[in-house]
Amino acid sequence: MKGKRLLVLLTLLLAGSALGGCGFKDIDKRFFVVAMSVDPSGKEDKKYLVTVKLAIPSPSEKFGSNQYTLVSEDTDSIAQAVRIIKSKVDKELDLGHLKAIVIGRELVEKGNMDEVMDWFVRRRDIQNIAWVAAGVPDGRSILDLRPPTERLPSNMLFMSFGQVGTETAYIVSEYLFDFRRRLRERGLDPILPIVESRGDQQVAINKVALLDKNKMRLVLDPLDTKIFNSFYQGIGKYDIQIRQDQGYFIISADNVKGSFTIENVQGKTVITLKPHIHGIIEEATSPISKTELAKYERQAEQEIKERALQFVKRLQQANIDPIGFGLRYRARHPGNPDHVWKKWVELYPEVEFRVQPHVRLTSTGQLG
Amino acid sequence: MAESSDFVIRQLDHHDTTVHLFYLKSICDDLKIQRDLVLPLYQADRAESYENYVRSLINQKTSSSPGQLLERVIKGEAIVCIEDTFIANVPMKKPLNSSPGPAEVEVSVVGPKHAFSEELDTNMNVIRSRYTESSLTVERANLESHPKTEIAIFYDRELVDPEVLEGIKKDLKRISDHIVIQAAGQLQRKMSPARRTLFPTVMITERPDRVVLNLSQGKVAILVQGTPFGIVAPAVFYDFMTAMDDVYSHYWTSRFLLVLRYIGLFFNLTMASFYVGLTSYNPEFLRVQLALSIAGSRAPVPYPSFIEVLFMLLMMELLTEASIRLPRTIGSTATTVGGLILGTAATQAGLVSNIMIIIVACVAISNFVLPINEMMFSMRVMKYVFLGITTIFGIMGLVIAFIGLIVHLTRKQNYGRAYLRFFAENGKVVPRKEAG
Repeated sequence: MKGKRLLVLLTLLLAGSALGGCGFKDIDKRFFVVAMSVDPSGKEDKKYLVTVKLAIPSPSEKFGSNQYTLVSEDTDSIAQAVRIIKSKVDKELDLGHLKAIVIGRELVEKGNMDEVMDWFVRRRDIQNIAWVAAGVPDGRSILDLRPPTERLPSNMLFMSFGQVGTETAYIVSEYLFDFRRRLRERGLDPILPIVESRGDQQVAINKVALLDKNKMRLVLDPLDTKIFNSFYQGIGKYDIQIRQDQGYFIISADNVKGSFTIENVQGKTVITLKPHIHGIIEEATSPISKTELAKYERQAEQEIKERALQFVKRLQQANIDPIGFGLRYRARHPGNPDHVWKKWVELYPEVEFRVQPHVRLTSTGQLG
Repeated sequence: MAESSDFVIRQLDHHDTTVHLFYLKSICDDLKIQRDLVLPLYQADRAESYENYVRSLINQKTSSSPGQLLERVIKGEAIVCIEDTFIANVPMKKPLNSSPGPAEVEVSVVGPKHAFSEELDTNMNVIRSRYTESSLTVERANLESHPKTEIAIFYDRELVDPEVLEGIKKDLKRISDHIVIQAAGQLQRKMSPARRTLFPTVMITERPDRVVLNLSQGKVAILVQGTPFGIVAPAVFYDFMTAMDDVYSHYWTSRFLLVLRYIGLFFNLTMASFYVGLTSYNPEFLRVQLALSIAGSRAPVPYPSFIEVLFMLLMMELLTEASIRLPRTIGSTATTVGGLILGTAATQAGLVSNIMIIIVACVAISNFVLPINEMMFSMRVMKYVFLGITTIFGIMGLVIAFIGLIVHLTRKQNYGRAYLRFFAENGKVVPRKEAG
């Protein structure tokens, strides 16, 4: 009886070991793909140039120990490219740590993003929390950066997008799952932060590419990026420059949160943007008085109103909707979804925008 | 019996009375015999008055059959024969190791400092003086071993669950062995209905305060002659996680220490398995920084991760075993040589990775956090089961092994008590420790 039980157990164990899902592969026999880029291929008959950035682990991590190799392949499909790349390296590719996907600007302009992203979303071992960005001048050159301040390859991108290291309102981070959602969702358009190589192994991330469902339509400059970000992430450490007489003063906001409402006012659809800003004055060209904080608040509100209006009008003209007005409209209007959507598409170019900013300054930034 | 050189037959003549004394010189107190048995004879004026005197001696029991007398002699009693008509046996045993030593295995910071002694009578004294209730009952019995071992069963008549008591007595009666039983651990093994269980169902303790606390909770304690350790039954999983200091210190500190022990238990069981599972199956579980640093430190290691882990764990076990058996003066040298030098050298030689050393140290240290020895040993073995399953099935295997362990523990019965239960216990269950 006892022997039989042991035998059953042994058989189960043996059978189970054959099932072992992802298989035993030691960590030093794996190549971690930390970043990946897709560019249009230079060859006539191929569609993409796929590049993977493989981290070379170093036993002692220190600044500048960001060793990596880049492997590229021209193919028609990304899956195929990765298979061929596997044959070019000596270790198993591990996509579990792929955290940055850089798409070359040219490809973003060319369009067909849905097809490009399909492999990334479908592939089971790529985490959906990978960051997506557009690379300028192209994806591969963004991958091929070796900043001396990095401890790991591509860590600079992770730190910037994850807001683990630098915290700034100029960086918009876009997750893979969100990008995919925006590609599919009616009434919410995709965005891609632009990573620019600026020489000396450094990058600048302060612009955003706005896409329709297919390709790039608009690039926001840093100031507009900041405004957009307040509706997107609601990030702190925000600076706003306000013109005042001949000079200016700058508000450093701890918290900026934008919200909006869609209303029907006398037969017209009106979208009211309501940015809430709490902060202190950080820099000023002329003397600032504590008793006149209310006055500065009004000035700031006036200025913000103008800028925000300008910003949304640009979106309206380009007929893109990264903030999600359409989605809100769809959510609040019952009926056949297709009809509602059709109605919104007709409405959007005619929508009237209003801005009601609320600024609260708590201090002049000075003692006394 | 007469063949033994320590067997003494003394003949005493006074007036016209002849008295014979039989005893074993080796275990009897000569001075006491002289004082209590010999001197009174010469002071007595008649044979009857001496006979009456002997009768008055405490603990005196009159037995008649030769077999019983022989047993008495072996137990350290002197037989007094007056004129072949009156026979009495008087306890004259010279006690050995009767003073309780300091507690060494279960050290308490602020609790009582002394452990049990190796003498059953002294231990009974210790318990009686700590547990001053008339309901405390002591039953002395002999185990059916060869030679017979004397034990004492303690319980509080009013608190004990009769079913549990009955079960324990039945288990004790069941024991029949050709080998002598000399330690509480041995008795526990013989008592346990499941011969090959990994988890202890009774608790072995050297602390009188723990025994008394458990008695007051309605448990049964068994003390064995010749060992300073007692058995407390029935014990459930939680009992093995408590130290006596939990009762003695502040509420929040004791809670903190309790949580710490569970964390230690978890680390001890799973750290090695996590290493194998994470480095060989699911590195995406780690942060990329750590993944790369492990990969980097594993680069010179030629063997798969589980061999690396097994090698290092084996080293650690050897070290632990060696330092237990070695005399204290050499012990510290062994740990230094083993722990520090071997660890560093193994990494430099490229046999194990740096991270591995940290993990092994963590496993080794977290094991010692568990306050009761038996549970410590069980968990030491258990982690290899976890490691084996993880090596084959990865992190999923580890999760399933953990669930399996909990299922096994909850299913386990101990004198009608569930070994591990997560929520409030019902009224029939022996009340658990109330801290504070």
